[in-house]
Amino acid sequence: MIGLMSFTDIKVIRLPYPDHFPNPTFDFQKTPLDSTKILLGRILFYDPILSKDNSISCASCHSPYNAFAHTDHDLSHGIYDAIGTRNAPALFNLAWQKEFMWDGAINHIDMQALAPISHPGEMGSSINEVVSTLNASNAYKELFQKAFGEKTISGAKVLKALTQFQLTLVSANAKYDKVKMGKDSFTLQENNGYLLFKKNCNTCHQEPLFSTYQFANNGLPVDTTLNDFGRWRVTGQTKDSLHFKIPSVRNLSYSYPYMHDGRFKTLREVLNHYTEQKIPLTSNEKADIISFLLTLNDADFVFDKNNKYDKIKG
Amino acid sequence: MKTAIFHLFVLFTSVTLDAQKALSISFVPTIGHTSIVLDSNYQYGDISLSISNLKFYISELALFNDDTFVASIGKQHHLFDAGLPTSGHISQEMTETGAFNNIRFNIGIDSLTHSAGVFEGDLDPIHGMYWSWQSGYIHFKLEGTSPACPTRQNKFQIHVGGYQAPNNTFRKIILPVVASSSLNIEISLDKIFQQIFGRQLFQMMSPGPTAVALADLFPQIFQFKK
Ligand code: HEC
Ligand code: HEC
Repeated sequence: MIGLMSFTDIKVIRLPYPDHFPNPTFDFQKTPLDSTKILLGRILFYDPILSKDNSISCASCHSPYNAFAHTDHDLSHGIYDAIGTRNAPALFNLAWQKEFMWDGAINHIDMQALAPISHPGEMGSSINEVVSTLNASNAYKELFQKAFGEKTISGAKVLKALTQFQLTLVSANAKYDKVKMGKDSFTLQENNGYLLFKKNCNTCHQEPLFSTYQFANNGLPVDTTLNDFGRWRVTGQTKDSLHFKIPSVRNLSYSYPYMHDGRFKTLREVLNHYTEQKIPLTSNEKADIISFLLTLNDADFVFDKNNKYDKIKG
Repeated sequence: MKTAIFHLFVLFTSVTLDAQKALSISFVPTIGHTSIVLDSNYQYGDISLSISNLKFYISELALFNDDTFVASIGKQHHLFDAGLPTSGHISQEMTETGAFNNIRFNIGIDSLTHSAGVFEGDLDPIHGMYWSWQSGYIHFKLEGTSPACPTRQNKFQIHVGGYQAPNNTFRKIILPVVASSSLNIEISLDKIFQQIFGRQLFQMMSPGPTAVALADLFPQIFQFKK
């Protein structure tokens, strides 16, 4: 009656996240995770085959050791040493986000990868070129066959695979999470920092994701060498001038420098910026907030070998 | 005058379709009523021009009898590509019968589909009908050259897109037709060229009021030709 369905390795997976997290915004009902697509997406993420001169992969700018950000570079670096106009953000908990990029210009994670692939200063290629290069590779055809049941590679399948891998980047095992799960406890200083954080920062950097993922102006003056007015360019409404997507403040020790243009190298500079913006904090209070922020570093996530390139035999 | 003609259609052309017959609708782009092929020279008034790319989305193509839905024709989203002659013909095996006197379709992709991630087939971004730097399909794309364009390599590049208010360029088209199993629809590009040359609109690649003004012409460029 029905053909054999067994020649497939597809295994549906539930996104793991703790009870203190809200439900993801990504529609897993419509697009469930499966292991073969995740693996394919992971291989693509680390493969410079996606760039014009075979030199840059997604991971060149989004390194696992930096919570998938680009440490030490204020602005991102792409092919032929081109320098971009924004800091590469850390990538985690993407399943809870609705809009992507610092200005929310991208409305779905599937569509995000088109931007770096096509950007002349990032990967300098195009989705067509990527698809024809991949279609010329027997190894990739094999992987797409396993993941999608079809050897022919389409743009949609490349993008869907990248999405699957990136959705699995969940950071939910920092000390803060262990405290929430009753497995650990804050020091006095961390706890004091937590209270100050809830009072001064939580409206935008809302726990447990540490962002509402809305857009806000946190008072940074525009850098006149870049003239980046953020969300204004997307909506065309002046009220959105200098509004940027609120970043999560998880994993800050791994993802410096900070802000959309990477202008601050240390958390102390960040806190000094906020005290200049009429959030009154004594230097002890700033130290307390920083000690709390450090409880949001998730070493399990950053060193998770399932997110890395090494053991892939693809 | 217009309404009088429309009523005539309603009165005399409500033909019934037989079951199990194919119905086909052909879209034919023209300049000055001459049908065009890519990379050939045409005259728009005294301006000569050549078209290198003409693509647009026809979505939710359906037959209607007055305001009553009769049948869907073809896929939900269809990419018309002047470089692929077969893409101009959309046909459908008909299982139900029904009189019809107008066809309806949209130029572009609706906002729901716009925010639902990536799709295969005609919606796959490999067709060059998706903006990479800011989410959104290009609903309508017209590119070519003319000595009358004071641009680099005399190019004109018109990409009409935008799916969010106030810059939504998705347009619904309602076209009275005389029912038959094969309908020809002319796409007269003259009105678009009137904008390109009249308003010196040689480059348009992002959503905004200019794109909206162009999209407002879409309902006028389609004509039923029998
Ligand atoms: C040249 C460096 C560079 C490369 C290569 C690169 N990115 Fe990025 N990425 C960035 C920058 C910079 C941003 C922020 C862009 C903006 O806000 O306009 C970003 C943003 C993102 C975001 C949005 C995150 C958020 O929170 O909104 C995702 C997801 C992402 N990149 C995934 C990828 C994938 C997948 C690839 C490979 C196909 C890739 N990136 C390649 C630099 C890069
Ligand atoms: C009004 C909303 C708002 C409040 C309140 C707020 N922030 Fe922010 N925060 C933002 C926005 C928006 C950005 C990104 C700004 C940019 O890049 O231009 C940001 C960026 C940051 C960053 C950089 C993160 C990164 O990955 O680059 C840190 C750290 C930070 N905020 C900490 C705090 C702390 C600590 C407080 C409380 C003292 C606080 N914020 C209060 C909106 C807010």
